[in-house]
Amino acid sequence: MPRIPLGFWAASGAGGTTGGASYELISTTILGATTSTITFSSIPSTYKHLQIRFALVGSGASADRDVLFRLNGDTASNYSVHSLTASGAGAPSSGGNGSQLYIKLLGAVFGIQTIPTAGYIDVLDYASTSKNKTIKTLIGQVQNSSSSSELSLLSGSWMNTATVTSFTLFMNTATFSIGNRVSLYGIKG
Amino acid sequence: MATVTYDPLATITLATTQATITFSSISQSYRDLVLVMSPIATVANDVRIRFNSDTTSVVNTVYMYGNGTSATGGLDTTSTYFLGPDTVGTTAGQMAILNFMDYSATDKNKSVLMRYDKASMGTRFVTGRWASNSAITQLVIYTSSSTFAAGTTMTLYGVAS
Repeated sequence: MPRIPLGFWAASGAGGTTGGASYELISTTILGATTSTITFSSIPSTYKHLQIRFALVGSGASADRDVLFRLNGDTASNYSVHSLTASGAGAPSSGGNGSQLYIKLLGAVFGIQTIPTAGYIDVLDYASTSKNKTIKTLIGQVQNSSSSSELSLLSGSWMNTATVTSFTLFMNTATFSIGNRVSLYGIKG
Repeated sequence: MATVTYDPLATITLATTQATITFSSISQSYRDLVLVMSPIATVANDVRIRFNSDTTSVVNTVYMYGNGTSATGGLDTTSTYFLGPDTVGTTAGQMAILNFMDYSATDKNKSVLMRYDKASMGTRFVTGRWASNSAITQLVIYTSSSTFAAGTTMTLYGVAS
């Protein structure tokens, strides 16, 4: 049976492609020590799209546990984002911001102890040099109440036509815990 | 060197009605599982998923749903199963993709992310957490009070890390 990157296409609503060996693991990081930054660099440009999959737990004050995302180490105001989020209390809320210093993937409900925040990020046409880069995500965490749970469907843009060669997941002051896992996959086109 | 993955582990296509679909003895060689399903019910019904036949641990879920007119959301902290596709119809026309993240880990609760689309009804996103650190070795898929109809398909993939 051919390998079909359906997980990738799930969020886009597009159909899958057929053909063997179209979805490849590039690299995985499993933390052996706490850190506030997880970076994947020297990403090969031989794929069409990237997918990042993770299950993360944070430590530190809850208000500091926002999960943030950057491409190519760009710290300028070159990011924009739109989101649809639900906590379980009432209707989902929508939001959007331009000229951001990063893409905020998830808010302060970020996982604690044995309850991870899990999700995936698709980076589309990351190797292109003629278009700005688009990401889309589905990320969730469920604790025992709506005040500490969040489901987020997000789209974001990096206003730069450069090929994506690295990405960084980080928190401003809190840290990712030992055992946290982030994996990078390449999808052929 | 890159590793080819997203491997199909099992595919089920029903030729006749069946009450329960089970994926058992799931390989522990992967990090994530992806389940793609196109369920059909003999009577419109909700699909449920139970982990490792566990009838005790709760599966908390948060969902958001849109039907073209309004958006709703909710939280469930009492069920002992993951509520999958809801109001599955008696004809083909609905599909769901579920991601079971870090399913083989034994140091954390298990997270599920689902997108469910039924063109005649709406689209639903769900995240769930099985309150157990056990590795997932079995998925039992059933309906709340119906059976799966012939033509139901489900495929389970493994994603390495």
